[in-house]
Amino acid sequence: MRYYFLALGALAVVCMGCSGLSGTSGTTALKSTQHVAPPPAMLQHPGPMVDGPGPGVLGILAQPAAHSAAAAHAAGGMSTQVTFQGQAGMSVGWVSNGLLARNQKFVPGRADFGQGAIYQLVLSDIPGEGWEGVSLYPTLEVRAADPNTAAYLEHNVVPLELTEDDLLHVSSNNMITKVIYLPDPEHQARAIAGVETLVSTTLDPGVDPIQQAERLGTIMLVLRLGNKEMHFDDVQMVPQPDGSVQPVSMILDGFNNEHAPPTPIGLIPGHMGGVPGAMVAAAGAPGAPLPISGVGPTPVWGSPTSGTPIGLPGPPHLPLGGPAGLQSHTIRNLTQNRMPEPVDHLLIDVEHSPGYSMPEPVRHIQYSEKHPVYAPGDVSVPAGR
Amino acid sequence: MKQPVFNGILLFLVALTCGRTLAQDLAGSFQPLNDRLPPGYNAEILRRVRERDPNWLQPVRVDLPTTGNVAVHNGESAATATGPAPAQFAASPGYLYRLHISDLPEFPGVSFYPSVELLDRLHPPTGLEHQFPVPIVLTEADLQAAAEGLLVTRIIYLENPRLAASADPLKGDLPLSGEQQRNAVAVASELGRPMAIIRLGSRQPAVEGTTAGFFGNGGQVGPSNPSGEATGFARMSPVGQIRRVAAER
Repeated sequence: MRYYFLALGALAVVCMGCSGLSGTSGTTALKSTQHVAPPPAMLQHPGPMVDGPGPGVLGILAQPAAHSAAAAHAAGGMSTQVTFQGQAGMSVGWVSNGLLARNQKFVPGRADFGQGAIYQLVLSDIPGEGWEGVSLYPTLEVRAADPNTAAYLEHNVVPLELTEDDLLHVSSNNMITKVIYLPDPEHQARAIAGVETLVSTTLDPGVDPIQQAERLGTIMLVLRLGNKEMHFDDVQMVPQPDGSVQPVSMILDGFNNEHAPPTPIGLIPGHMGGVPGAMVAAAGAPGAPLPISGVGPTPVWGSPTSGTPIGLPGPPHLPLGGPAGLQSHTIRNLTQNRMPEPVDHLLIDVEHSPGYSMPEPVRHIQYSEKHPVYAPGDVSVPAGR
Repeated sequence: MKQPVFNGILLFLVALTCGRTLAQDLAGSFQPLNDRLPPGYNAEILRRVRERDPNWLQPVRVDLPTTGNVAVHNGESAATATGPAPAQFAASPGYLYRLHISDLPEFPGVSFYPSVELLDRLHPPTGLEHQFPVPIVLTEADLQAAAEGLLVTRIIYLENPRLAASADPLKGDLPLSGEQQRNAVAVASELGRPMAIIRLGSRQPAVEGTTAGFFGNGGQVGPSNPSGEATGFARMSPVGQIRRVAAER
């Protein structure tokens, strides 16, 4: 009887394997059948500085010309639509090509702003006591679309609300930073995506709303509002073709049907192309000549354009999302200095949970066909064929 | 006496470890497509990977809660086709299109611009192509959520015949709403073959000039008119419930 139950227990262990034992350490335990895809941003770029979709199995046909946010942004076409909410009747204007365009939109109204830039707004006709004749000059930072926010920005208008509390803080000489972001899926409570707003005045002292928002999602707008008075010249003397100098108004007013689109007063450095563009893994259409490294516009293959010690440019690592192969990274400093010894072994532990889990690549394909064999007279023709 | 007990335990263990359901099998597959990729990206990849008949135009039918007007854009600000709901048109798979929904009695003065990312095609019997359109059903709840500033994403899939025999989405046997954390295309792939991604929000075309790609990326659009009695697709009832047309006939 003892061996009877021993055999039964052994059979149970064999049948169930170690599935019941895994998952006891940490939170990254995945079943062998569960896979975790990289985030959308990485799906668009198989490797560091290598472009193209997916795990690189699409070969020469890969590289969608993309109606992607990045492609559209590169073409200068992506814009973010903003709706102004809160103070009903308040007028919104902006700086357009050096001119101050007042009263362009009225709350609730909406306007489009090109992405990756900073705009100077002017808020006038603010309702409430004490705001008569007062204008506020906030700046609006419009972040470029990210793969996480591209779908939202292409389909939704981003709400920008100015509340009574905001005005109260401004009148008390406080600066407000208002961050509108799209929460990451794990930080969203419901299945339908919606934006969230972080305001500096509602956070604990020392907490940066931008850093906080970047932890929770992807930033789309940053509004910075204070009570500084901006002095725009009402009239400027402009030389005329005939040599004379005439006064020209530098103010556009929507009430006079003078409308102008907002233009940036500055670009966001991260979106100015400071990072070299990604290298296409396999470019060109079928039949077209392949790009040759170092010839023509094709950059030299393998040039160290990556700033990270392990992010070497080169062929995409397969399977996508797998760990880098570097086992050790050592820098020896042999300079004769009377200084403390530099760190000779650098260890950086990084971990995110759950880690990528990709299926094994296909190793074996077996294909067989069976054709029916009929004797004369066996084949029946379907009616009507 | 003990032999039947042993056999029963053994059978239970084998069933416990080997008795995987279809959904479990499908849940383990890897889905490189993702609804959170930028609009048009999934369709573009599928268009390049799958060798389809380039002349095939997939009929698509747009259903609104009650009445309304539907216009189809395939890359230009001028509509390619316009008609009252339920409106039907045909379009090339693998492209992104933009609809203009207007004249809704439930939302007076409000227009919606949902996008349709057509991923795949159907294979209906020859001559009956227009009787089996891809149904795009926009419910009043969807439109209300969009008007409130939310982004509604719907994945339309052709149900897996192995599941269709026992599960009916209209009866709630299949999930009609996925978790936000999950890839919606992967969820749809577990239940069938994803046909289209519908994204609905509150954004309007820019007054000063349209955003590049807002109206789609150039797929071909043609007419599609069902001849004869249309059957087999879902339709909105006046109270906003989805019902199956064929089931009531």
